[in-house]
Amino acid sequence: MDSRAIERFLHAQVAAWNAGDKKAFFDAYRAVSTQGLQIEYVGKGPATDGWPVLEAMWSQQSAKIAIEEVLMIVNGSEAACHNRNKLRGTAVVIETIEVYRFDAGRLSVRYFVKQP
Amino acid sequence: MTTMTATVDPQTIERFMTGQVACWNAHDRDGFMALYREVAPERLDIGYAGRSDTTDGWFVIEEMWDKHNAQFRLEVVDTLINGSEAAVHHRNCIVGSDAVIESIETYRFEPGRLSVVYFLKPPAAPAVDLGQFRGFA
Repeated sequence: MDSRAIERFLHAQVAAWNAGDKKAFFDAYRAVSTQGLQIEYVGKGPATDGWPVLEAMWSQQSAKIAIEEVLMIVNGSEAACHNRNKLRGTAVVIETIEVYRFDAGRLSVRYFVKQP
Repeated sequence: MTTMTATVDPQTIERFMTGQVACWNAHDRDGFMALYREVAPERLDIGYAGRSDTTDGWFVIEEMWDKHNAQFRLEVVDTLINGSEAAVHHRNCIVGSDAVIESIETYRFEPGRLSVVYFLKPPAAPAVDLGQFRGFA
């Protein structure tokens, strides 16, 4: 995947999340993960099938959290993002650094999460 | 059978992460290298995201210091430590200019070993020749 397509995906997922648009959010992931999606919460165990993780994330958090993009870096077929996850209606912010690796239809995502 | 995986404790990781920035900004080469030797006596791997070339981590870190320490001041935007890994967002401020190279860096600690990966974002209007930096060359 070229760097512009990666940037488009990363912006699209945040835009869809903030808009509460589940279809657009999952469409964005399906377009870049045709051969598989793995998600890992660093320090919490190995990477697992990403689709149930993403479903749980959406159902439990999408109404509660708005994402602000702090920094996105795309180098080759990898990306790293620093995002601020703002708990709606409060001053609480959960900072995340997220690392994405795109490899021939497979996407692996690793989340570093700073607890508030 | 139970498999035990040795880990590096978060306090050690935090001390390293804080210490390397303090030493860099204080131009304390001995202190900086001592921190790396303390956590990576067996092996240090340093890579740049999106690149497949491999170079010995000690060569990279010493070259980075010798070529760039006087040029940059580090600002820490955030440091996240999860288990035996850390991810940081740094602003590498070019001394004497407004230019900044932002980086996100991941650190994986194992007993005696450290693996680092740098993601680098070039400044919008480069104030320096980016070709001099291993990550952009």
